[in-house]
Amino acid sequence: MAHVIQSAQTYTKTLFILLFLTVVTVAVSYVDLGQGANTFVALAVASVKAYFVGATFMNLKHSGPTNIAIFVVSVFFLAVLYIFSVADIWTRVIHAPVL
Amino acid sequence: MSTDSATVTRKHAHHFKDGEHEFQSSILGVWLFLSSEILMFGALIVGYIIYSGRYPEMFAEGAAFLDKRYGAVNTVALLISSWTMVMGVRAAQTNNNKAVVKWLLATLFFASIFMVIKYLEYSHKFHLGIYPGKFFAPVGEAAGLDASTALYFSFYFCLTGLHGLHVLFGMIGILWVLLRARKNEFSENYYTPVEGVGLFWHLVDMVWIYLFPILYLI
Amino acid sequence: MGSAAPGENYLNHEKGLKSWLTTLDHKRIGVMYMITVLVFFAMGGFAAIMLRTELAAPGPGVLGEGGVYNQFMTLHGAIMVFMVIIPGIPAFLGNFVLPLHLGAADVAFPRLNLASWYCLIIGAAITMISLFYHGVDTGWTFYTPYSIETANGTTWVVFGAFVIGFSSIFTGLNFVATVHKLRCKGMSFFRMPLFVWGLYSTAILQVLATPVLGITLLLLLAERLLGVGIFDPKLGGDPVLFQHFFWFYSHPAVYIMVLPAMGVVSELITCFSRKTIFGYRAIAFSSVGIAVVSFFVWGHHMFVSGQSEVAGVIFSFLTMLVGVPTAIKTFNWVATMYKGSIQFASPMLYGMGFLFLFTIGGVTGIMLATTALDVHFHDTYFVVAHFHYVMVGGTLMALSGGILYWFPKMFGKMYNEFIAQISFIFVFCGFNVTFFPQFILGAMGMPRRYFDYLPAYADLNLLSTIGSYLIGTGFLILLYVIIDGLRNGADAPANPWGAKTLEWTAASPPIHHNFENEPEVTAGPYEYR
Repeated sequence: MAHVIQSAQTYTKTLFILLFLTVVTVAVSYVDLGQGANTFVALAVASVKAYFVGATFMNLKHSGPTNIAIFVVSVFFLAVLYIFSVADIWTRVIHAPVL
Repeated sequence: MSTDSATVTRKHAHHFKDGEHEFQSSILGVWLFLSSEILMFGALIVGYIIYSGRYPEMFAEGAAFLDKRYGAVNTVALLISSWTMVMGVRAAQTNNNKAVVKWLLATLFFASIFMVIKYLEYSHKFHLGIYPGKFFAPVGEAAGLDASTALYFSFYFCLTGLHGLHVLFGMIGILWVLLRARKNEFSENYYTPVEGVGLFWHLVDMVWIYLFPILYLI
Repeated sequence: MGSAAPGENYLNHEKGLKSWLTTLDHKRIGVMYMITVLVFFAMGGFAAIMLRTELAAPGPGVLGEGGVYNQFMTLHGAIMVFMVIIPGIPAFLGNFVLPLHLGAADVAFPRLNLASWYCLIIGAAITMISLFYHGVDTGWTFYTPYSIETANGTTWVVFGAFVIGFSSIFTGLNFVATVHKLRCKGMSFFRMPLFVWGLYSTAILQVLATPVLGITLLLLLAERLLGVGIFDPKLGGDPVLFQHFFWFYSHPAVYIMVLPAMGVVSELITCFSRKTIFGYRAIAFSSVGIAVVSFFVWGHHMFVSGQSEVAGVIFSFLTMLVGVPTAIKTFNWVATMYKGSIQFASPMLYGMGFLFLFTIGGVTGIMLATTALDVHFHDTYFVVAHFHYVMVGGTLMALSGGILYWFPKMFGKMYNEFIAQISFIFVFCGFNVTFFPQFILGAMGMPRRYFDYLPAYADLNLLSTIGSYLIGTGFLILLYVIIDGLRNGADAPANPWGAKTLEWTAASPPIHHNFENEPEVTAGPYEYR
């Protein structure tokens, strides 16, 4: 596969997007939207930032399907760890003592 | 797109067909290593999220002791350092070793800002008797902290400590590449170590992109 | 690739201990792993013999009271799991054979390969330091809170296991990259030998699962040294969460143990039935399928731990699912043998032994996956018997078969076939005598990890101990076969078995860079008929 050399402009634009998103997420944190909504927004913004770091800075856009697959698969199994663990924790029933 | 790099003979390990083959294999190897790091940090973050769901008030009490301005500055520092890093990779790809050195020095500079702020945060906590685990003994402004917040701060130290350790590892890697750039080792035909170290550095940045909101904002 | 001088091979390419300890040659690294794993196997086996001797009769025996027994029990488990069965086939046979199977000159990252070996050695040494600190008595699973409070030696074993984990991660990383990037001309994914598919699936597990164990062990160290409280109920932590994190790795780990073994079995069955494998794609996909599904089932180790019933049902169902690709493989192997021209050479005996023993181990696994049964079987000898059937009856049989099968290739010598068959008889019979009674003991309620037991269990325990001496004898005979072969064996031809995979086109032993010229394949790996 050929080496794609991205332009300096692309990288600099990406940096400004990331800095802007940082300002957004800090600003939102000062507004109380409720615990759930605050968490969701913060993690969503973080994920968008992570996308830009991964796709542009880490060159995943031009690295081929294998490298992208490695990244996606690792995040997937991390999600499995979380989902199954909380599937246990959230469905635990505390039984009152019989004695 | 130029694939001339595949035809230019460059010293490469004997089991690879050419320099290009070695480059693609090395980058694949780096991504596999990064996937290990994602699972390791990720598992720790999953642990944190599970506990913060279990003890929301206690986590909120502890989190109030973190200064999100420090966290924000650290985030900005790492983002800029990621940019200087990738500009350094680009300099190597365009045969400019001198620029590689400059961009990598800039990366180390912003990484150092991160470490200095971390040092300030940690020493502030230690000053208030906020240590991990059984050494937790809050005094002064922190005296009102419930003993159970020791668990929150233990997570905080584990997460930021492990991340900080990786920042240090990254800085060592960047320094190594910088020294090689000073000897004009990189060119469009060979910049694998710059790219590889860069990928590691971006992962360290990516972990912080999640740690910042998780620890400081929510 | 250049040409080698006549008589020159990877063994005499360079001489001296330093040339071995600094080698980048995957074949030499494979041989170093072989010696390392055999040494650790002897240590773990010694611990096992001590345990069985203690258990030969009720009451305290040669190991005195329970504390010493628990240390031997932990050492046996930790050594066998981390230093024998996990690295055993991938790092030893895999390292040697994988590049040859792909027609490559080496693995993708030879220096990383050497680093893997050193991580194993250093990690093992760290683990052994625990012996100077009253050892470890937690069992290889290190459950909290006991593992937080108990003897000092635990810290060293946990740290040692952490270092050993890097060996596994680096090997897995290397193998994935090698399979993707170093296949020779004409070798598409579906022309790779099935041993490679097994190693590839294993490598995925090694890269993705081991880091979670790594962080869990680090957190356990933080618990012991700093009292962080993450798994300690006294401080608000959840000991069941430790188990979730621990088994997230350790269940895929058992597939790290068995997938390469299944790969070896595919090679043995086709070669010694002189018939192409039945259902190549099914076996290949089932390897990857087992690897993926293995991540979804870990809670079946935790049915009675305090895990919720809902989670228990989910994990039980998913565990049944993982039996499906395994069964597919077993049917396909048997179908391969059907109407084949079977040669009962010693590697094939071990391969067939695998089929029989692993099947028993596998179906008893399904029994354990059934929550209602597991409530009774958990922590009894039924579980002990189950995992020994799959790990010893499975992996160790395949490892033994693989050693014999590739011995001529690795060392250029033939071994004594008759005595190798004798070793099989001792191992196979001894194995069943040791472990089948344990299913019955478990069903009768005998708990595991106990140094003593009720008199009602005495007869079967004595039988089991006698069996263990038979296994020990069998493996000692196998060791003799190996050493005798090295010293006195007749020179081996390039292809003594008439097999069709690429390693048999290389010399026995191979030259330093494996093949004179890069091979080119135009057909699948099992074109017998």
